[in-house]
Amino acid sequence: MSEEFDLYGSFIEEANEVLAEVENDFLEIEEAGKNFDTELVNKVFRGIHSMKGSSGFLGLTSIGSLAHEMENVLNLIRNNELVPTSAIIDPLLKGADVLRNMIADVTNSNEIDVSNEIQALKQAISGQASAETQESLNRDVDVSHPNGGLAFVMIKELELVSRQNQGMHVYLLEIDMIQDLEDKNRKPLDFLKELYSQGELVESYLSTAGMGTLSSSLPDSMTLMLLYASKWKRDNLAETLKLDKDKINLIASADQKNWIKEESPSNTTVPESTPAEATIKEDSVEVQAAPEAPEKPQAASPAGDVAKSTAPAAPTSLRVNVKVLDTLMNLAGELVLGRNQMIQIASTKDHSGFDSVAAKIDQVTSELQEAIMQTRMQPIGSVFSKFPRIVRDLSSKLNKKCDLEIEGKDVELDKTIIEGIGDPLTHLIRNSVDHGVELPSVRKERQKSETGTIHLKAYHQAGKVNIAIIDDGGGIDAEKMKTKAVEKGVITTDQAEEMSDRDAVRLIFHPGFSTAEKVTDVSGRGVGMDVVRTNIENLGGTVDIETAPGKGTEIIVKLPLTLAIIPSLVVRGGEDRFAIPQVNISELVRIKSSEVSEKIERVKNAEVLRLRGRLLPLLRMNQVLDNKSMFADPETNQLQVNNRQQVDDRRENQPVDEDIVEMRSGEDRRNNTTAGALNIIVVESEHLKYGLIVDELFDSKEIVVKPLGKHLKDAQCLAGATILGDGQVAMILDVAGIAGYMKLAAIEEHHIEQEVSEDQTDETQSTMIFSYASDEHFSIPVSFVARIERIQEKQIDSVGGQEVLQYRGTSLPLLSLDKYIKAKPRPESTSLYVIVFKIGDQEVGLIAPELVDIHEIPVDIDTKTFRENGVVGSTIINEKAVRVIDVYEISKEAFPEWEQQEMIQAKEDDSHPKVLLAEDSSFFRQQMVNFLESVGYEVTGCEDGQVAWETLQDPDQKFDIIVTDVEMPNMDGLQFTNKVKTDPCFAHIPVVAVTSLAGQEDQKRGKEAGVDEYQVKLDRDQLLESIKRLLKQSKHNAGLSQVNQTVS
Amino acid sequence: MNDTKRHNKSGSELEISTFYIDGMLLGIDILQVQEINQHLEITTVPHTPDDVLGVINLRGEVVTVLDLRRILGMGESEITPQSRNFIIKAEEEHVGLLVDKVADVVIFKESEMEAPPANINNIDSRFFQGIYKMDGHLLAILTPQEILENSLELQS
Repeated sequence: MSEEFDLYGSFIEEANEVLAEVENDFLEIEEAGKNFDTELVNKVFRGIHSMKGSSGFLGLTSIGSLAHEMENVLNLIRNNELVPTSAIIDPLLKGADVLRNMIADVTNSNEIDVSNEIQALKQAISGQASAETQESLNRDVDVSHPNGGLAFVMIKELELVSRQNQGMHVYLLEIDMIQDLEDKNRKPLDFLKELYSQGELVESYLSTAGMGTLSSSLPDSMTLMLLYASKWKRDNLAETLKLDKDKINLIASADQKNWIKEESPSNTTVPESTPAEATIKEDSVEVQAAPEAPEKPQAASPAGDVAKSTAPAAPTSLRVNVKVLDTLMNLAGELVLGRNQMIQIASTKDHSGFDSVAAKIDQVTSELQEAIMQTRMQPIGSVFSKFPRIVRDLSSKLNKKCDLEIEGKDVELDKTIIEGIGDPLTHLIRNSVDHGVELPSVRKERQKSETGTIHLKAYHQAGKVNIAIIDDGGGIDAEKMKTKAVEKGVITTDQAEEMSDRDAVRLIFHPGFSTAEKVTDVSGRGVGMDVVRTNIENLGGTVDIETAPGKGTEIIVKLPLTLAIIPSLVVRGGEDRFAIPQVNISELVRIKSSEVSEKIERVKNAEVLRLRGRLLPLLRMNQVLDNKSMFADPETNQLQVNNRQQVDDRRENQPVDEDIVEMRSGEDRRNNTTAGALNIIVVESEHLKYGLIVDELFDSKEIVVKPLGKHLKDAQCLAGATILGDGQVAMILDVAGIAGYMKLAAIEEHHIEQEVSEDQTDETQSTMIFSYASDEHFSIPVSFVARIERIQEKQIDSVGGQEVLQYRGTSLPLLSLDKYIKAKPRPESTSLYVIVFKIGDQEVGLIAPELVDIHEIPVDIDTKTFRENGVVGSTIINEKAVRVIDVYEISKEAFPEWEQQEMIQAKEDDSHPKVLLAEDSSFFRQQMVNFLESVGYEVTGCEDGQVAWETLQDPDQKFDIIVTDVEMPNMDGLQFTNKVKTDPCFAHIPVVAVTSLAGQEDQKRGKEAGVDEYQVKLDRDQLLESIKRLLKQSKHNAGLSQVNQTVS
Repeated sequence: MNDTKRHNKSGSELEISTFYIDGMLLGIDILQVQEINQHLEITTVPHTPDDVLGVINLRGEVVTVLDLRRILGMGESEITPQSRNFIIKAEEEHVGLLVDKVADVVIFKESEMEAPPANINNIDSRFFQGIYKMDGHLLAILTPQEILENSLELQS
């Protein structure tokens, strides 16, 4: 029994492999039509054929007879007797579907009725094939054994004739399973494979009764009769198959057209026309039933079909690259070595050398982990391969024309993800066909090609796998989405008005939302995009959508490479530890107890954190986890003085929240050192960002995800569990689930953001604020900062009066502010920060004794009061004057020799290119004029687009390049650019747009207006680089056009 | 009810692992018990029904531990040094049942099992497979499946 199972096992595996490819092959054959690739048809034929052979071998009659019929059709195709039109391919595809279902449940496959499919296939043939072929197909032949007795009955004549036509000999093989295979240690399946490699198996029959053998058979012999076609001569065949010659009987030779037929009397006596007629009659009966019957399963649930076929097909075995296995073996060896060493060390007294062994085991374990992960990686192609069929079927059903382009089949993902991503992707693809791509007539009107294209591609990005589904269809109308959302009560009218188009389109992922105006058969199946989103999120992924009305829609699914091991941050909430997946964490914020009341506010009865000018909803871990029983003992509280204060002022703010007070006090009792400070983990899931207040932070760790038992499945805040280093179990938090549980909605957050941003519609610049000497605050734009290092005072060396930091093998020059601008010297302290930024290729560090915050400051700063070389101006933040540093001016002063090098660079060709600069903020304008002039450009600054446009008209000026801000009064940068680019006099001048934030959307609009390049404001190097490049290019172009002129 | 009935080699003997809950002697067919351990470091899990005590790390598998006393409606368990986890083989996972104290393994003839009375100590009879009369007192045999399912039902 177990052997039989094993046999089934390899049969199923092989059959699935065949079926996985067969579908796309059919489609390819169909597409090629008459000019099909013979090799491809042969390949499919062989696949189906071997399925038929093996199924006969295993007694799987239903599979066998269906495969047989499919094989007939394929045979006719490859003999050029049938043209593979969709009428022919359709029943083949359906046949393949049914085969797949049967393979999924092999043991019950014989109970499945395949007559409909067989009939459809027969009909396909009768529609096209010549009468002779059909006749031959319908004529049965019996093959008898040389020593008398029938070996095979009712073999289709065509089967034999067609092989002969291909130059094959047909043999009757008689194989004794015991003598020929078992005793010689040959596995039946291996033998079958050998047969397939040398020829084709026409029919097989297993006789357990030990029927008519030539030699005296053993009582327990099992004879396998095979009707086999091969190009080999009998002698050669005997040799290749390692069989006795007398077990091979020639039935029909290739050269001999009149093969030795021994038709049974019953067949010859029947007039030939009768069976033909009978078949036709049968067919005509079926004609009425056929269009309905095979359609049914397709129409009822095409997605269900797919689901059904993928669900049980979850493979129990996996193909692993031998190389990977070898690596695993090696690593296992290493691990054993390490263990031995460790045992040895443990037996010594002083445990010396333990460190190195621990390091080794650590390394081997990580490598082992990686290698094992690799075995789980599967190409996404196995999921993608079913989509061409889906697109084909669906588009023909909807009377649309649609091409599917697939890219990145080889991208690998963990098998759990591969298994889980099929359904959501199918849904997305179907959506693209159903809602995305328009009807051919509509497309024509819109002046697009009648055939829509859906682009499906998988690629790696930032340690994740992205899958993009891009269609060139109608896109999504944001207004329609809003109206609908309001209708459905998903958002209010006010919210709709405030909502950006982008967010409106994202509403598609909101539960209970379907964009189809009519619920179609295809998409209205009660499964919305929200389910797609949930499914993808369950896999640890995200999904986002972008659309351009009339042009198309792009859906991007981002997936982690693997699920089993994820980097996470371990935190404590109450008594227990929890893991938060690193992918969900965007930053950590710690708020000192003295600042809690100032930074945490209440909006609509919810706590929010003011973070860089935005309001971030806050959740307390204890609130979320509802673990009130933990601090049931308030009498033993020992509050410190400052805590009491804090608790008191919390009371003022929020008298309702008694249990928070209680919880805080509980925490304080536990952890006096961090009393009062709040650790906030800013997490992000989907479009929702919120802060989670935790009691304590531990390490960041790679954790192994363990599934939760059935009883815990309903806990929506949990994504799983893991086992920590000390053997304790910790729960993994589901960030999106928590938001859902706490009813924290994206729209609400959006609302809050809107509220905040209303009073800050002015352009802002994100700057890092630090204090130098006490009470002297400075800031530097964040865009300048390459990174921040924390160093010890003693690490600073002084070389020739210049302070340097020995660092990563090189020395980093350091700048002390008090040397260059009016500032008090920095106080003595053991550790300080260094803000590293780049001047050209050179890194420079600015000493910042204490970092204060990152803050959005308005760009119209006071450029007069504190202006000096190195300070651009000042602004007031939290009632303190903050001076904005110009790192370029300072470094120019500190390292004058660098500047000269750059001057030389810019003036390569001895000219002073003229730059027209349009920028409304005097701060930025001054900055940019400064550094552009510093490298040798001649700059004319204008305060808006209008002035710039007028300046441009000045005939005395000839500008080589334009640098413009985007947001400006009177005439904005894009209008200005548009004007420049449409004026023949100026169209050749390259335009660089600078903005403080260059979103994709902005860039797109910019490109449409004619902007040549986009740069982030104050990213000096990038801007210079791009100006230089554009100048060179335009000079080159000008040169070319001159040449053209002279030529003509 | 009788899905645990089987015919072992000796014909029809049942080995019952017995334990106490709130002073009451109960038993589970030993073939349904994977192991009995003293893993009492139970990690509580938020947002779960009261029946669920939490999870333990059973050699790398995260196993849910249920409060058997609670499921039987006998109040909340208290973890004492004598408490033990009965790890039960459920369909696709292992589940722990916390008991107060472990007692002997007793062997009975299957034919001696009697149908459970409508209620035993006010506990719903569907949790029981049957009862045995021992010298002077009763041993009630639990049906673990029913217990596990019951607490799942409560959840939904």
